[in-house]
Amino acid sequence: MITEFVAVAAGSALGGLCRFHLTGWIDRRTHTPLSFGTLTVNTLGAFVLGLLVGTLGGAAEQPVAAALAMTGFCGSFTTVSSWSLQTITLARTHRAATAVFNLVATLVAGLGAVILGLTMTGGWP
Amino acid sequence: MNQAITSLWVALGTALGGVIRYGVDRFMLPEAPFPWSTLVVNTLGSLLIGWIAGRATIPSSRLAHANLHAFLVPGFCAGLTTFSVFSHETLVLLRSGAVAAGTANITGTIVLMLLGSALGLAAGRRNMTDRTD
Repeated sequence: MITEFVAVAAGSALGGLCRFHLTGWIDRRTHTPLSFGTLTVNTLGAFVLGLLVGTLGGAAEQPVAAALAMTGFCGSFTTVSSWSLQTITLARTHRAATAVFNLVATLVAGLGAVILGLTMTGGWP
Repeated sequence: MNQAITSLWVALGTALGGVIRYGVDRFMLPEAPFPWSTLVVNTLGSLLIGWIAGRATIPSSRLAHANLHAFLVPGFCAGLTTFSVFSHETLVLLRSGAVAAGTANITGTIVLMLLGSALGLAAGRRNMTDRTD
């Protein structure tokens, strides 16, 4: 139990660092009202989670590896809070269509990315 | 050097957020077929980020301070919430034939996260006028 919590903390710290620097790097280069940085990390994290589930199985099979890599790294590499606030900001700045696009594109990309990751590791169909 | 310190705060905040998310997942309805715990952390994180964004709009606010902001926003809020796990859990529901539950998870998450951020932002901005912390 303690081992899993430590693994989540370590995986999360690394995932958060990677997210922070990758989103910063992308957003500094794109300069768009829609954050392609957030869209990218969310899609990439969902893809990696699909790969990991296809490779490792779930928390029942590999509790520590799942805590480190899935719950920790992938969980923290991706974010709903920033996605949500950025969507609200788009809507508040009269970019309603971009806000809707941000919601739909992120959702579709996320589900598609998990399916792709699973497919590449024999976890789909 | 500043960049390294900011990174450290982000890592610490994310670790704390991730650990709380894991704790909620372990202890809140662990046997439930619906991913309630993810919905709860995603809603709470979206509410908190909205409130902080409202507060941080004044430079004199402590929440506008770079290190605290790094710890709380790309750190704690982002670590507490998760898009990858939400996507995977939704896919598991849809794949198992629980189409209504999968759709409800998508709709519920979208509605609650947006509502949370909008309410948090409004609350943070409203309090801003009579308090300056």
